[in-house]
Amino acid sequence: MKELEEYSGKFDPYVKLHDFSKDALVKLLTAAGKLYMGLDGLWVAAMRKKFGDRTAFDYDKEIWQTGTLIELRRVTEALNIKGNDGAAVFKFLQVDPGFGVWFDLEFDLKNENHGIMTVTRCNPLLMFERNQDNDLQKVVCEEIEVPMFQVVAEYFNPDMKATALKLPPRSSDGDIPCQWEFKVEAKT
Amino acid sequence: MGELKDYSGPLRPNVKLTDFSSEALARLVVAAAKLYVGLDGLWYNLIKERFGEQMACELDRELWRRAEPFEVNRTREALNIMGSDVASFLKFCQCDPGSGVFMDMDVELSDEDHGIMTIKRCNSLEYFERHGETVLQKNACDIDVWGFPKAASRFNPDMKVTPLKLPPRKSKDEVACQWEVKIEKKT
Repeated sequence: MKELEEYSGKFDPYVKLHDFSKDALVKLLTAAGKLYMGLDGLWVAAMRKKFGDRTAFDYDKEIWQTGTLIELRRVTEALNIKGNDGAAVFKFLQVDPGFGVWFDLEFDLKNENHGIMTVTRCNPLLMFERNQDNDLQKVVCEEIEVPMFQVVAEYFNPDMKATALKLPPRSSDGDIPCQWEFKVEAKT
Repeated sequence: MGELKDYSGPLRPNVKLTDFSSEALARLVVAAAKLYVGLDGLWYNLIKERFGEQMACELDRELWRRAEPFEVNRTREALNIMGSDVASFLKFCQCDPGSGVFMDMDVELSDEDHGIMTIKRCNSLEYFERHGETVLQKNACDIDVWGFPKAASRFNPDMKVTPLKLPPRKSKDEVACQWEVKIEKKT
């Protein structure tokens, strides 16, 4: 049977995900990734309305302490990503539905223990900038992402450090959103 | 360069999602769908722990009222499911990251205005049963009793979705739930 480029045609009661073309699956994956991150945004918005900004932000930080570990487990299992070096971290970040699937990223792996990731387009940041929601932007980028990338690094290697080399706010639209260094620090 | 069955090999700095095989992409779609629904569970449990189950239920219902249009529209747009008949709604259910992607379901189209959807295996229900979460189970199923008809109405305002069977189950051999989808012609 020919693979489905979309699902505008005839209904198939027995359709399976792998009946779809890779392009169609990528579209569905991107949709699922955006729904996943968007759901958190809706929860934070509901919590801000009900309990105020600080409570909402603190709870969101708590959610991602657990949520990040679940995300790591599900994605690494799905694609059998193993290893304890910078390459393993970058492979996870490239295909993560909560991140690389719908962000524009560049990776520079200098050696197995050292790499730089540059986010060249970040949809949530564009939304924060559009809505001038500086408080939420600061919480997400500084209070959630900074510890989250450290959790990601340590999941692969307890001696790996994640350091933000650049964070928002941006000085212009041409500026990158953020840049991160991942480095395995040899024990002395 | 062959397509990637998984990502156990070397890092490809410029890898594209389409470099992966369909099976690998399907596994990633399922992972994303489980993360999506699972994130709601994390929030629900945190609110329940701090503010009680009533508050958790109240916020969760409000949450899905806001999330439902995004789920329907993003999925329809991703796969271009734009019809207004029962088949189109069933196609959406089969591919929906919030349901069909990670649930085991049968869909039967009796005719263009009538179909039955049977969820034979529901991971969420199995979690509720395993943990004795009866209030959470009722809350989640109540959201579906509201959500499926609401989603169907986005396809066709005359489309109705009625539960024929809902949890709780008497045994694990029973189906999780069953729904009738029908377009009622205006007379």
